[in-house]
Amino acid sequence: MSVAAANWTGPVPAGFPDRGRSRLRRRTARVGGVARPMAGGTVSLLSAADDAALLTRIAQEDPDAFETLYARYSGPAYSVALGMLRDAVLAQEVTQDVFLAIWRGAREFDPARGSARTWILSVAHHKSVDAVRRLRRTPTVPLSDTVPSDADVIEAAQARVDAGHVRRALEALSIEQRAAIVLAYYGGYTQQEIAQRLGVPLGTIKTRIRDGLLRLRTVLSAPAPETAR
Amino acid sequence: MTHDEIRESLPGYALHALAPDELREVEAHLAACAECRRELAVFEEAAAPLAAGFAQEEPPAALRGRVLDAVRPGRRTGGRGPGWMVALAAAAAVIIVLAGIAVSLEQRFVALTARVESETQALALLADPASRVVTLSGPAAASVRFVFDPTTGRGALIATGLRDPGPDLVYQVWLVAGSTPRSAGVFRPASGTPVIVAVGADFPRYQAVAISVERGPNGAARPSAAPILVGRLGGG
Repeated sequence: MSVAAANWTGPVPAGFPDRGRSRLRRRTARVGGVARPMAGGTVSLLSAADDAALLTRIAQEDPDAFETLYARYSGPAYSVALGMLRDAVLAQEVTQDVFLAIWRGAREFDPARGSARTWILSVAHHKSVDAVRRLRRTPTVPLSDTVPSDADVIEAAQARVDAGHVRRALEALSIEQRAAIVLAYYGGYTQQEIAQRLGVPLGTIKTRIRDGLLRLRTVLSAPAPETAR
Repeated sequence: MTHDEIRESLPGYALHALAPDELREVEAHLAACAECRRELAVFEEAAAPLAAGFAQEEPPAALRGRVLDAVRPGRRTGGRGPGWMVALAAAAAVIIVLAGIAVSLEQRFVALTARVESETQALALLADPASRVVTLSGPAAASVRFVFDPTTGRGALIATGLRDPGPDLVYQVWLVAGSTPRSAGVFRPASGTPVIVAVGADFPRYQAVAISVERGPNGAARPSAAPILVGRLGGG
């Protein structure tokens, strides 16, 4: 017999089974592969299932799947990092981090929780935000004595929005909702920082982000007015 | 934070707009609450199109090699690796063909290089006053320590005296955030010499480091057994 935890009495961290190796013996071999129902059958659904299957293979440390995923998502992920950091060298470092995080963390992807694309770009955004916050913590010599106004900061964050359809979708939000979402997503500020900067209670910022996101969902899932006409 | 307070922070979580302490609380809750996970999915999908707002650019071609090399140790893509590495691979191939010995020198070289790297990293961590050392405890009679630097995200597990887990089994290292253990690598003990496993992570996110016995050679996606050793990292 080996070192199985027959006499384990210490606190077991959450997420571990609390008894020995019983599950290891019971467990039957599980073959990888995504059993996602293919409702519909459009091209975008196919490629979405494809991306999820790639992540399943990456979780099994398949380098070929990783290469395919890199070919598909290096552009979108790099664009997020470059847009946030405004520095090609830093953006490359962050992109490298993003893909290593995908390689190591692919098993954390849960197809029931959302699409592979959403997950990958969320990792890219998260790493970029972390990098922006690290940069902000680094003391720098101020170029001028003027403290940027709220409007300047919102403007700077909003300037990162390049795509017309996203700009138009943001314009469908109230000014308050737009400011909160733009400062959070494109500015990389925390809810607390936004509340402080705008002099508004934290609860109000949380509500604006929630309502703004729900509105955004309606606007972006509807056909663009130009193409509908 | 209560369930209702967590719910109010889910939209902010989807935008990565939570402060570190709040982030840890929300993640711990999410691991345990299916209702919040479902609700979060709505906000994550709603936030997803914002990524398309950035000007779309392609990264320089050189980045591809760097990223792919990082996950394929010993294999070089695009032939931009140092010449001696290619020569070594060629030499290994010749030896296999001539002697019929199915041993890849390159693989052994890479394994050795990886070992030297992780040992160097462990030594550097031990020498760094900013590092923290945690001793793992549990039913296994062994000396296992985890040294890590919370700011750089570098860490190493140093194990001596662990018994052979049995044929086809390995020791698997886990980092635990909330109730979600994340695999940080597998290893088998080497008699007489310490085993060093390099672990890189955002350590302040994790509350504990743990070791369980899992099926080899790659371990499990989720722990299938109670941990034999646990050390508190103090995060979360």
